[in-house]
Amino acid sequence: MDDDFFDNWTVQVRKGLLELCILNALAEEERYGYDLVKTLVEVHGLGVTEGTIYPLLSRLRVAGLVGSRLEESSSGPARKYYSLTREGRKAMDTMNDYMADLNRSVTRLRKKGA
Amino acid sequence: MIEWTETARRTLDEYCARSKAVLAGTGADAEEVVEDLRRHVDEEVSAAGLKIVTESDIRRILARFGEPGSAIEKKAVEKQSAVPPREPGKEKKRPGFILFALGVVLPLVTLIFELITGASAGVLFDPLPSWIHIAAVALVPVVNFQIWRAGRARDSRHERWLSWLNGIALGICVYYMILYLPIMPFATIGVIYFGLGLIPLTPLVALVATSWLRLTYAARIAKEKLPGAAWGAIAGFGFLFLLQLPVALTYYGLARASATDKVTRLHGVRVLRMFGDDQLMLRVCYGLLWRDVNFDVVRLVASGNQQISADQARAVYYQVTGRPFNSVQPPPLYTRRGRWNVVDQEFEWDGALGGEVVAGRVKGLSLLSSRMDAVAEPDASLVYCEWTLEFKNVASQQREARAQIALPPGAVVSRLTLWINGEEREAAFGGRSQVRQAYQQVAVVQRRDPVLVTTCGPDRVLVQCFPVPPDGGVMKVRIGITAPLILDSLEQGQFVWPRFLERNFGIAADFKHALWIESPVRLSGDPTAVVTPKSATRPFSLRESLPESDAGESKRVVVHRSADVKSVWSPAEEGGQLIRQTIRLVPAAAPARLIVVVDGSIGMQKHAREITDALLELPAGMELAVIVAGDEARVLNGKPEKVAPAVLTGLARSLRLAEFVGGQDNVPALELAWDLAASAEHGAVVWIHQPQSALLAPESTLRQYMERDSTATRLYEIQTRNGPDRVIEKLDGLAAVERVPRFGSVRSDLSGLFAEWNGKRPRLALVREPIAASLEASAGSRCSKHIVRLWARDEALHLAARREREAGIKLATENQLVTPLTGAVVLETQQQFTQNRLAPADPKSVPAVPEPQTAVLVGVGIVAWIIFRSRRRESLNR
Repeated sequence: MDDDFFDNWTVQVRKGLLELCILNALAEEERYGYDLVKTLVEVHGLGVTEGTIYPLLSRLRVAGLVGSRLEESSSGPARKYYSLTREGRKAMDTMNDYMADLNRSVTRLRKKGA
Repeated sequence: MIEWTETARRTLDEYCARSKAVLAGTGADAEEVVEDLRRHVDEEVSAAGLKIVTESDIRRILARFGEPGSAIEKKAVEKQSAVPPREPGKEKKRPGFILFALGVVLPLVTLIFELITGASAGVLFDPLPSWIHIAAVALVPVVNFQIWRAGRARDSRHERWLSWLNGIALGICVYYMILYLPIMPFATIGVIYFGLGLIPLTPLVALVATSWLRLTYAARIAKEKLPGAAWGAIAGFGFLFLLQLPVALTYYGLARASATDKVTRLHGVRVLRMFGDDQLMLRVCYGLLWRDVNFDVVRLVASGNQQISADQARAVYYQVTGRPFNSVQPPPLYTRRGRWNVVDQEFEWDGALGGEVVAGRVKGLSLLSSRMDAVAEPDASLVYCEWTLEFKNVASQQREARAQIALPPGAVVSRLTLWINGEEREAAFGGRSQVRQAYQQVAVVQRRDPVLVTTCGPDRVLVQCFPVPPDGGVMKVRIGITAPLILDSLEQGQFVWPRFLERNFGIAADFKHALWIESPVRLSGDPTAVVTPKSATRPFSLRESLPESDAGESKRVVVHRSADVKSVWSPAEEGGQLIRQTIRLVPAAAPARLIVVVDGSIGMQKHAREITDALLELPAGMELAVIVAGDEARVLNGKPEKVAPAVLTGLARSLRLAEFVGGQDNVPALELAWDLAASAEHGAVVWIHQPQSALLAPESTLRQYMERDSTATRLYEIQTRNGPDRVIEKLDGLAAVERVPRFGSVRSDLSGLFAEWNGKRPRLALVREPIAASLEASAGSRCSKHIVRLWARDEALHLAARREREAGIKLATENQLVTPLTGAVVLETQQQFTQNRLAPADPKSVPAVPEPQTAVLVGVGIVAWIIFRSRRRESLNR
């Protein structure tokens, strides 16, 4: 298989999945921004950088899916915390359901093909 | 401390500037992303433990970052977000000190200031009449603080809640801004020139600050519009408006209920019955309103700026609730000195000083002691009772003690004493206007020591004494009452202790009146009474402690007597005459037509059944009509009908279904009843009513009917419970009015009256008449002068009825009696008596209850004399 084709395809997939990954990362609890970004950067195969995640977080916040707050820190710069809004949680659930359905369909296709 | 090299700083700035340019139009908040990136770099530097940050360090970090937005598809983003990109130069700053001061500090300080000082409530109107209002006003600084803090932190987590609460706060600000609108121009001038008057301006300032905070917050979290501005404001404003609606309707109702025409008045009263705010009505009644609400927009709009006096409000309050205003605790008084400065539920200023009404409780005045000493004369079927009262005043100013007293049926005040510097001073008796004038001259003008007693209705007197000295001063008075017994039979009669109907002084919850009565023959009373049997040295006596809470009911003592004694006499003042009193069995002729007037006030509802049951005992053949004195006087059976089972059944049903509401004006119903009764040969009106604490219509027409009526029509009045009655007060001195003694339930007392008409119960009357002294031998045994006093009282009333006022005044004055024509006044000095052409009673001529010691001495003397006489007789026989 052509490497360029695969690279382009993975870029497309990652682009679509990034927002869902951010929402899922916030599913359990409010998270400190730096920590959140570091976690996402280290997700294998996602291949994102800090420069990509911050604009996405801002966009999700403007869309009302993510909320944020600043908390003063005695040991360094003020810390920014992110959390899911109610709308964000709904969107995350819908996206996860869609992903699961899609995955099942793709798997079924593969089995039929075999 | 971490140091950055110049080039490191520049490198980061360039990256950020580049990022901003790239992010513009992507749907992300470029400013925010740049701040986040800078913060992230700071974290990286901190995590790496760098002390000096060089350009290479930054480049290494930024290399990991990659170019911002590189992974975002521009078209997709634009589709998702309609938020236009913000121009970097127009970025909103964080909400700062000014917004905090105007939106948080100012409303909070104003709220606390008003709560502590009541400044607005004392001068303009009360902006915080309830805890709900306080909570609503407190919401403004609380919400503003939250939104201020969230704006500073770009905290969008509670965006929806904060937006709605901010909308509600806007509505609250608008509401109060409208309330203070009329005063705002003056307040502005006041603030500019005198630095005072910030309260009326606070809602406007807070409104601006709240709106500004909303806009700033929206910009800070990159939202063009926040939800809930309009609906939140409508909710906040609407909530307070609805809360104020009963107040507005109360003002409206009060204005209508005080109108001159009857239809408007009735409309106002009905509105108040449905929606009236009890506390507000009470505030008007207690005169605590008009001085502090000159700029109350709600009142101005709702009442049409109609001023309502306290007197008008009191009458309306009675019509609406059926309760006298002063039977209810006054609402909190709002003054400059403090919002919760309740005046101990009493008036500070006594506006009724020297007048003829008792009015509300005055501050600091209370009853210190009360004792009633009575002596019965069973043969003469009477009791003489002295009620000694001590008033204490702990206020810092002089007070007048006033009380309406219910006398025993048919009784008369025959003595009045005031203690001045420890000495007893007897009253002067004179024409009613003469003694009142003397009292007002001495009490109100000269502020010296007088006491005045005048009548205020059948068997009712008004006692007033002034001044009860301030700072713990005490004033002591004694009222002597001569009362005939209500004879149940020849063997016994009942004496009803006098009691307060209305008073302007306080009585402690555990206060008790000390009652003492003695008699040469047996006495019986309540099971709680202590009865001491007769002995050689003392008569029968009965004593009891009566709590004031129980004194409202008719408290009685049964005086036993010898059935053989039917006639007694006493010499009259005029020479050569005796007054003879005879017990006669008087046939009580049933009226040919009976009109029963039932008060339609709310308190009468529970008596409807009793009344219908009693009506069943009316003699057959009598014509009967029942009128319910409601908002309109209504004859239940249309016109008088012969008493028959069907008629009574119909009346009973109608009466049970009748509406009893508020406090009703009974005068129109009494006029109608009198007309119907007087049109028959022998008519009677039985008026069953609760205390009428307000005179709602002039009584002059009714009084004219009764004065001019030449028929034998009589009005029997039965008051269902203790209390003052303004209608009865106005019928004072009319011979046609007869009070039905209250001994039991309404049913039993009505039955007693009807039983006399039925001939089932004999009516024993005490008939007093002057006879020639030569008939002494046939007039029975001699008794005290009290029967002369009782005869003089009745005669004075007859003379008044015959319009021979002067003769009546002369007779009552000579016999030292308080009647509708005369009164009693004690003045401090002989000069004051002389100036007012009055002469105090000679202490030797006034009646008295023997002191216990005196009684013992007299008893011992009598016993010794009897023993001496019997021994002498024995020695003579020998």
